[in-house]
Amino acid sequence: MRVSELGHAGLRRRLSADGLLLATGPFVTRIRSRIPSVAEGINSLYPDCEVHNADSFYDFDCELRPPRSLRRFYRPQVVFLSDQRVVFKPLPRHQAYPMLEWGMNWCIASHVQNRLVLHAAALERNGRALILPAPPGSGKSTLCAALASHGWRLMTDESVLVALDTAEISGPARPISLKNASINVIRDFCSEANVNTPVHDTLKGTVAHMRPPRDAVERARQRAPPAWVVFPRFRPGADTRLIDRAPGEAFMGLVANAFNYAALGGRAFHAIGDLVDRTRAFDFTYSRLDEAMATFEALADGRQ
Amino acid sequence: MKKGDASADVHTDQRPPAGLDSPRWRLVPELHLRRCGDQWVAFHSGRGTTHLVDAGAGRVLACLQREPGLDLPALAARLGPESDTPAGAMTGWLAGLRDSGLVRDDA
Amino acid sequence: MDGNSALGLALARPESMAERNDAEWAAMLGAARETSLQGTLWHSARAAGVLDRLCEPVAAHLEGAAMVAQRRAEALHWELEGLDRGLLTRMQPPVLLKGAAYALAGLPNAPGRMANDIDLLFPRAQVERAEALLFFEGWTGAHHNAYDQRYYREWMHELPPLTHRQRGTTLDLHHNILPETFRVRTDPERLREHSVALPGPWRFRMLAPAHMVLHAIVHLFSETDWDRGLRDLYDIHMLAGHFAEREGEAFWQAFVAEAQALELAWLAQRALWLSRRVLLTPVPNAVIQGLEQARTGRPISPWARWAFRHGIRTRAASVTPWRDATARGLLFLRGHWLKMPPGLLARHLFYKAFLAEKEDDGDVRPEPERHG
Repeated sequence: MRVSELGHAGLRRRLSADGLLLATGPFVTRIRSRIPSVAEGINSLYPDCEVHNADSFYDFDCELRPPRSLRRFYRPQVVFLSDQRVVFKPLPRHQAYPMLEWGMNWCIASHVQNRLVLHAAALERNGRALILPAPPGSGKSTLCAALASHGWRLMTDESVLVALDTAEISGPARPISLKNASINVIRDFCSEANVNTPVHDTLKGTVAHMRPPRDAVERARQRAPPAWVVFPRFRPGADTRLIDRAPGEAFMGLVANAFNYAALGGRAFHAIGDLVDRTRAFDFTYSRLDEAMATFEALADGRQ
Repeated sequence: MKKGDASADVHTDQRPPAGLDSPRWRLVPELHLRRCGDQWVAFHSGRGTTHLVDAGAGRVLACLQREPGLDLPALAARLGPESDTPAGAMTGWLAGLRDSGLVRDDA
Repeated sequence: MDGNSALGLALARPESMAERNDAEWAAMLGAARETSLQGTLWHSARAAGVLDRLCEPVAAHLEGAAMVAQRRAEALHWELEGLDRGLLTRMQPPVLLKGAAYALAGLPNAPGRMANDIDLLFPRAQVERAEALLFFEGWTGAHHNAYDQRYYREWMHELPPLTHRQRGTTLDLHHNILPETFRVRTDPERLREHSVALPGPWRFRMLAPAHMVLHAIVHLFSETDWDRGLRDLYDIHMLAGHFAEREGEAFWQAFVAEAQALELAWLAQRALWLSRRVLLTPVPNAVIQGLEQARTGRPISPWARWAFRHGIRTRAASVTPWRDATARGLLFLRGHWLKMPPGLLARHLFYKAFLAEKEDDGDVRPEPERHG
């Protein structure tokens, strides 16, 4: 069964009782919350995702609820719990939905140990994966959202999974996080994009999420061999430039963006080495999305 | 002096004592090494550190991986033909690699 | 079966893992994650031959944890080699305690165990010299204030923890296994005298079998914090089982005698009661009776049994969260009560409540927005 088939009432019932078992790519997350904005967010962003029965396996256990402090009576807040334990500092209640997304990202970054997990976006085209590692302010998510609406299959916006033995790429195909100006940029640039209601005044400013395309959700369990590693950099007014990056520099860039490199040690070192051996690496500077799309089109067609 | 104590035996040998002018070099046993294009990357599994090594120093590492225990003249002879490496540069690389904890000498 | 019971049974009887259904596994995995026992489960499932009967995502989580534990052990091994060859060679070899000793001695609780810290036992008179020598190898104390310094140096059984400046590894220098202010005083000289050499080429020593089990017991049953209690209980279960199998009756006789000599019979009673109950540890009745009749033996009160039983449960898989939280609260008070005489305890709690700098609330809370 899919989220859209549950109906809004059915979704809220599951969330406030035993939990919603939501499948995203290789993972199932159990989510519990009575907060209405959480149900609304899931309803608008995950309609195509499979829902599992209450007696099935889940990888991560998440809950969003008001903190048990006196403060809740005069200033509504929300806490995120993983395995019944508070993970982050409380946030104002209206940020409950983005907190769920951040919390689900945290679960992958902290609990997945049998694969290398990169802080990066990944998209697939013609059976080959493009990886966009993300230093802060790189404009990775904007680029990812635009590509996901222009012929590339979204694998993930946030956590790239790399198989340790084969360096094959997969991801959970969850919503893409957009902030501030990029929310309207994507609304304008991608006519078919579904972006949910923005939440204001978070520590990142205004944030919203874009629903993953249905095809991406349905094919989320398909892995792809890596073909390109592109380090994006958004600079206002910059010309579009794709230049080769030396493999050694690409290696170090991937190490810097791996969540569990230190935890896996030599295995992660060789997985990144295998990844670099199989890919071409680039630095990409851009400001205009239409030119960026053309550049990646050329890359996919082997014209770069 | 115990028989079979290799480090002690070296000094009673006919050869000049190792370490005075020509120490023998080897990779530390914890090292993972990979070629990455023109460069090399190394991982020290004890410290958990990752190092990006330039082509020249990387060739020294690769050479020591193939043949542990080479001294400076032997290393220069191995690497000399493919790169006209001045001995000074080689000494610098070895010192740098030793300071990073990637190689050690017998001295 | 709830996750806590399922985890206890999996540790006691690894072959039972093949019988768990998906929902039980989900709950059990959360419990194992909380107590750092996922890697242990992978190794014991493999040893029991049931690894291929686990569903794919479960096996993947367990295997990942085992890989991380192996990586941790590898780094720890290297760190120990450096210590064993370094400036500490100027001193009598110290006794390696807990996880590092289990790993180097190849004890059956080591595979998959997440070993974090290095714990060394020195004679009281030498522990500060060791601290001074280690400073030259990069080990420094975190800047503790005067109160914390006094707390450790006068009242505790160890110095303020050292951290390696580059690598962040933690090293504790002990001179005893219980605080100076604890209800009973154990004789550290006896521990060192009976200590045994680790297999070569190590200089380090480790505790004799009976002492090693007693130390694992002390470690959990004198604690205020039972967060990873099940992992500690598993150490007790595995070590006792291993030595009893290897040395037979002689191990248990030594155990009872040493529990008595170190004034720890009452703690051993509690530990073996809980270990039998939760992990089905085979303990001969004669041992239980021997401890009861020992001079330092003491009956276990019903409330203590209740608190141990509930306090050992994980939060992740709790089906009685309020009772378990109450038990943890009681164990917290009990730990403090045992650790310090009432006057000192009042002073300590007053300081911690009103005078200590509030850097954080103890938990590291990552910023949520870093993940999105």
